[in-house]
Amino acid sequence: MTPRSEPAPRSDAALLDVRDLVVPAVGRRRLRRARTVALDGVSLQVHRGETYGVVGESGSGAVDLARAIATPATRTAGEVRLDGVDVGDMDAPQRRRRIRTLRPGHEHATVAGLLAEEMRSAGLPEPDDAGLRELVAVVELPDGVLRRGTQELTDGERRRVDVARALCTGPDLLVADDPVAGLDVTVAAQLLDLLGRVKAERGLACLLVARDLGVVRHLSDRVGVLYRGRIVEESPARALYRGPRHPYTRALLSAVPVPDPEVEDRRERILLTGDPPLPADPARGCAFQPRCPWRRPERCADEHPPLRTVGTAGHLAACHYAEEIDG
Amino acid sequence: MLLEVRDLRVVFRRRGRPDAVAVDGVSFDVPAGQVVGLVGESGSGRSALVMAVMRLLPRRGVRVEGQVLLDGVDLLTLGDAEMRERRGRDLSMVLLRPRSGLNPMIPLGPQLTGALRRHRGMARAPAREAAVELLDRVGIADPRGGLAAYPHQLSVSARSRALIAVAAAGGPRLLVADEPTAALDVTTQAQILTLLRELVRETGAALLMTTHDLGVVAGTCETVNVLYGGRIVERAQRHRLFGTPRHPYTHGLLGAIPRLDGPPAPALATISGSGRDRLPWARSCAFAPRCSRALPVCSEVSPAVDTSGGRLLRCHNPVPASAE
Repeated sequence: MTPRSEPAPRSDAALLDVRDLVVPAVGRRRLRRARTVALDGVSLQVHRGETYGVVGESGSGAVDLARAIATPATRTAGEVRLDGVDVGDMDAPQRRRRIRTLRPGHEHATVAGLLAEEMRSAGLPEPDDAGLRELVAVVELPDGVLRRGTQELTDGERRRVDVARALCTGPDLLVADDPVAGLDVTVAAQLLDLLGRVKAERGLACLLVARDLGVVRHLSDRVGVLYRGRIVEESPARALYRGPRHPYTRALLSAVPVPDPEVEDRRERILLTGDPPLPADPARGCAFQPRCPWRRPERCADEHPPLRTVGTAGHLAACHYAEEIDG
Repeated sequence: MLLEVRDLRVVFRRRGRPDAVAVDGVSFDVPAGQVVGLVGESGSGRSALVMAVMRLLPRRGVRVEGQVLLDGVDLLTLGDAEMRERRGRDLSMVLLRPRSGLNPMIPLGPQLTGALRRHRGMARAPAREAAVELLDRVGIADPRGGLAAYPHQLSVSARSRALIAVAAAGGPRLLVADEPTAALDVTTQAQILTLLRELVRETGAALLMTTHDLGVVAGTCETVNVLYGGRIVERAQRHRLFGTPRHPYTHGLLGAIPRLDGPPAPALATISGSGRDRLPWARSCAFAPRCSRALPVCSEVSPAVDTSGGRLLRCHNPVPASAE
């Protein structure tokens, strides 16, 4: 069995349609005062059965994107439509039923209690014993786990419970926010296999945000790379990892260590200077330009590069010189 | 040999429960000027091992046995005052915690010159100059201005660099780094690893690095020790270890990583269960309950150490060398 689901039959209407999403930066007063944004006009579509991976370092807005899908109150402009209906116009239980966010939970309660609470808050009848047993069976946990408290579980079991909580309402869209962060490699591998299987079996659409580019590649059909609140490259996963076109994507991929000394010794690493930027005052030209090894004096500093098709259909990059950077 | 660790055991006493053996008889060497890696997941004893080498474990409730020889001197037998003197000067811990490793109330300058004056006996003015040099060396853009900066004014990358500068200030021959890049972004991680490698090459200091990320190890460490349940289960030079991993745990660990090179793997979960499912080393192989190659003997007899072929291996039924 492959973790990749079959490409969904593409109807023109995407399940999730995000248009020009703007989310203000929160938390830091300095940033709020400067009216800075965490997401600066993000558009993307996720089709039924498809997994869209979002790659971004800290400050990229990837986490804000995951949150803004299910929490319309965070956005100040743009649209988030599920099956053509704006998520902001749905009532809360309906939203909770159809869009589920998978992220590590920290509540202390019994597993049965947690699952029942999820169903209740989504406006669904509480599950009976058989229903609960079925839910934990999907995530490959024994029935006995239902009566146990979450604090008694191992990390791996705990994350499986999180998956069960995300699936229990029969959602249309799963938003996964770094599902394997902080897990041991062997345990993360088990969870990734589980996610891949569940997605494929249910034909679930998924928006996956992760810091680990290997994880994103493993689960995603398409990938978008976020830099400072904007998508700078979007492509089918295979094409992106084989031939990244945006300088930032290239640097990012070259920075990921590969567990093979032969590869590591031969590799040419594109070392960026400086940090991934925080959403400070909006730059005039290309946001990546100050760190870009391929920067040119003309255009880059003055003209904002639009996201445009480069090379094959469906491969977009926001770089003036994407075609001229060889690879 | 710069550092020789011999039969190190770290045992935590627990109230009302049997003692927890975190490190169960570990021996390894760190030659001068080399980078040695310790790989292990949670529960492998990785952190306890490093803390024992640095003598940073509390005395109460912890028993540390064995030898930690630095240039032939057993650190475990030194008095507290002498150990404080050596820490920072002879061996130094790189505390790469960009959010908590520096004192937030004190500018960078005094945090650096303090180490220089203490360990190298420098006067105020030369220490200041040496601090500027250090900050320049680790790649801080404006080293002179950096001295006056408080940690919160610096970026995560700059703070990580400053922490490396603090560790290197005393001119130690051994740097110890526990999970140096765990909290960093990928592009920052690449910068920091490059810096650590350069520093080792230039100063001739050795680096003992622990990590759970085999990718970090592959490009950085000359010798790699794989820890499981408090013992080293496999050790080899990195090309040999990654080229032909013989221990089923090493083999499975490599297969469990979603990789960027090569075709996507159909499935990752090559090892079932978690680190909690383990047997006592004394009369079995700790890894046996999770091992796909386990034989009946694995849960009855503790596997002996085999050091043939330039590799240390602790396994009854290793992966055949030709399997790769």
